[in-house]
Amino acid sequence: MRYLIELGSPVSDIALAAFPEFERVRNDRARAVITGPVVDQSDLFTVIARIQTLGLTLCRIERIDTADGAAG
Amino acid sequence: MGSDNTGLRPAPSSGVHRWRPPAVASSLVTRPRLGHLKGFAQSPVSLVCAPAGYGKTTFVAEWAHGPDVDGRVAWVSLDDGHNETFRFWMDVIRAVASVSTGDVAEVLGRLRPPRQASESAFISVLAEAVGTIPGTRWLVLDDVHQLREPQLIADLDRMLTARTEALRFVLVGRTDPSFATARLRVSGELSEIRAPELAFDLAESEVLLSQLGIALDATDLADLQARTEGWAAGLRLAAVSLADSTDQHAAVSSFAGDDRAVADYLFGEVFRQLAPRTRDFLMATCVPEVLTVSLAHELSARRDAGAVLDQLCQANALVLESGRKLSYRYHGLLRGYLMAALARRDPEALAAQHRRVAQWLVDHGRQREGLIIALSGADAGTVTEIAEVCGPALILDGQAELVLRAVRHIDNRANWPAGAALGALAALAALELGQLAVADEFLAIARSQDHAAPIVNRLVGVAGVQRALLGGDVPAELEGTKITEWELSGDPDVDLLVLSYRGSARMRLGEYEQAVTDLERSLQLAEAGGHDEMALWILSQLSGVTGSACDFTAMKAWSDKAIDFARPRGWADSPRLAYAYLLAAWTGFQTGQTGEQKYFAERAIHCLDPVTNVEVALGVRSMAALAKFESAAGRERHDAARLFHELWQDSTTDQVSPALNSFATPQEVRLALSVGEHRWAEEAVRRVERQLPHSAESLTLLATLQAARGRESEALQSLRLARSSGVEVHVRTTLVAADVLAWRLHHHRGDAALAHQSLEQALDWAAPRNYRRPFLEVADQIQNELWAGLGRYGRAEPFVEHLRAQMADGQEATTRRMPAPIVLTVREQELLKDLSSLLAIAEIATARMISVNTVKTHVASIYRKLGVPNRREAVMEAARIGLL
Repeated sequence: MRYLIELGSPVSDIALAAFPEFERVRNDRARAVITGPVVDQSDLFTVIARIQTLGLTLCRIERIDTADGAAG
Repeated sequence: MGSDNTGLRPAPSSGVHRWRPPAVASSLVTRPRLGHLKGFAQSPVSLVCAPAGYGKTTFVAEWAHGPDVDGRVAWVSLDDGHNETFRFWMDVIRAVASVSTGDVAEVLGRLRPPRQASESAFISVLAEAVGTIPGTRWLVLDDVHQLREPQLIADLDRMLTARTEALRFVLVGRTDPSFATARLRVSGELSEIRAPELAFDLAESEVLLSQLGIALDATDLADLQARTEGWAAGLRLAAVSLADSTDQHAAVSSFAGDDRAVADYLFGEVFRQLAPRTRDFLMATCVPEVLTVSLAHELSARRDAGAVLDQLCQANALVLESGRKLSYRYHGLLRGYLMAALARRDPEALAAQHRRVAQWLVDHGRQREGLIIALSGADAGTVTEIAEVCGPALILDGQAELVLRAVRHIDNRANWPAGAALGALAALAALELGQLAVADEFLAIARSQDHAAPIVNRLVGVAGVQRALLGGDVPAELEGTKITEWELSGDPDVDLLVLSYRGSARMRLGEYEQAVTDLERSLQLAEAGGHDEMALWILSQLSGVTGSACDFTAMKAWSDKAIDFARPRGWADSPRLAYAYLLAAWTGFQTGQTGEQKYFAERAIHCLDPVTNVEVALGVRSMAALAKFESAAGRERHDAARLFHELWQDSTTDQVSPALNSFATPQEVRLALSVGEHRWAEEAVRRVERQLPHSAESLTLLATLQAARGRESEALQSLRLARSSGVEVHVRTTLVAADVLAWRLHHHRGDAALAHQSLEQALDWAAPRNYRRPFLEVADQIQNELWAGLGRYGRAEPFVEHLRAQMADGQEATTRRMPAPIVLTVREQELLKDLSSLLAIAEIATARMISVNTVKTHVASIYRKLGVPNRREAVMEAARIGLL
């Protein structure tokens, strides 16, 4: 499974380093968008937990298996 | 402890009891407007829900120390590990017990939650115990967002629904919990506090900052408050950052002008201002959730680790004492930020730290936590190593799911081939969880690899045996693995697995003595290792084996012990108890106590798991059918007999032990004959001839069938064969049944001497073991003869007196509960159907092409057997007992 995750404000490099398996699609004044592989439900929950732990704002999370990952 | 601790208060000091609310610092900003939030904690359930760092825990802790409720609030701080049923409920029980008094605390102290969430009655037992607390208590569940196991959430939901005046719930979490709340809100039983209420207003922000030594002018204060939206952690972080800043106004401006996430920005700022050595130290120690000084020393290689932590703890309150002695935890947001920083600087160092922490935990006996940490970030090699070493112990402790997850993790993510040991462990874990297909898949992997190491060989072997016990060829497995020849390995967990499953497998082969030896030894290991659920399973198995060996005293003792072991732990519904219930029901059956038989048969069927040991499943289902037969009338009796018969038509009956077969099939035949289904009885006899060839069992059943057809000499001939040497006897009770049948037949032929001889033989074994069943079954036909012989039974005299009392004691009731088998011949059975029609006797004779006199003879015999005077009553009675 591949997921697209949109975070609601620009995110520092350090915070993005918490998602090494994700690719950065964009990171500008409006939002940060990353895409990457998620193995299963429990993996998905750990990704969401990481977002929470860093105090980031989760705006959108979407499964994009069929897309090429460049949804931004 | 809440991980969204804002740093506004110190963590609870180590002296505070673990289940009590965290201590509140006196320097705290008092927030009277929150204290008056209407109805807080007066509803059955209260919810405090806001993102990290809003001061939820602080607010609830402050309330919990208030004069109205002080000393009556129990507190559980949840973490990821609480997704395990056992740990979650154990902590809830301990917490509630800590604010209960005497009796209730004692009852709670004895409860043991299930290891896996499949034992539904536990919640009812717990709710009932809690309901008896006098007055009102509160239970705070802090960080409920950590809970995500569906079954656990469903259980908690039921607990909330079963609410009582005695216990109110306060749920604290970052996100709305997915249970109960919607329904409770509708019914007005939920009070809620959310982020807007918790946010610091301007005045409160000012007080907070000034307490931390920061004085801002009105504009800066308003900017800061707006930027942080009153988020307590943000204000606190800003204060840390501003404290070192030369130009506070510029700092506030740049902060307010930045549009990065507040936490991200502030941690970046704070982190940047730390001394490099301190930064390194923090990054080197960020993986463990709880950091002891010795672990910090190990990870950072700094002798002064304790001093550094102490200093950090005092300086910026982002490092907190954890409540345990000499241990600390980093603020959840800080820890996340540190791990991200480390990942950016050196991803391999992060994995290496996970590995070291995992190893350290395993070395300190915390295997479960070690494996979880390894799974969350260590390399596949480390996960493999830990899973292999700790797997058996984890499976025995109800952590099968975790073990399976670890193996799948290795399989999925790292493309790391699961070796024989991991395959076997995954198979054992899957079997524990009742996932047969998954188990087969991993067993195939395990077998396809080389496994020369003795321990690995044992794991693969025992997984195969356990798989067969749940449906498969047990003798072939025993043969193939050579498991019976194994010496103990010295690893107590592996030995426990081997001994208990081997014992169970040996029972199937009829090797009862060896089975008892294995099981008794494994019981010692289970008790020594504190593996309670395994111990319960072994107690049940021991009851089964001793019962199979016809040692009914031991059987009863073991089943009583199993039930006594389970009950105070709240495990009365455990699937592991099904077997013990079955044997308790069997005891009731064989001593003629139909009430007990019915009660335990129902408990057994209630506890039965969908996937379970074939022997237990078939035994329990047969017993349920038998108990239904004994207590039913008319059509239902017929249905029960049919159900029993159908159970034994299944091919899995080839897998069960000779003992179960030997105990059950005579009942199948008895039931079939009592409802007039001669064909079912014949099928049963033929099946046993195939399954237990040349045995006393098959010959005695044949004799029963022959006697039912009125072929007395053939029946006696079969019985003589059954008693002859060279014929295998699987259970000794069969010979008692054979002797009782011979007694009845000899008696019927008027041969008093042979009859008495058969009776003496039967009593000789049955009397000392109080085995009453075969005598009770023929009570109606021969009780007078039994009494006539009183004084001639020697040592069996008291037993016969007992039987006499039981039969005489409410003769009517006994007959109703335990109907004597009214067995009609095939011809009589046919004529019985004609009797229920409108045909006259002469018409019946014509239709059957037999003489009127023959019909009359048969009909008279039917009346006699049914104990009725006429045709109408014969039809009614036959319908009542299920013959029609």
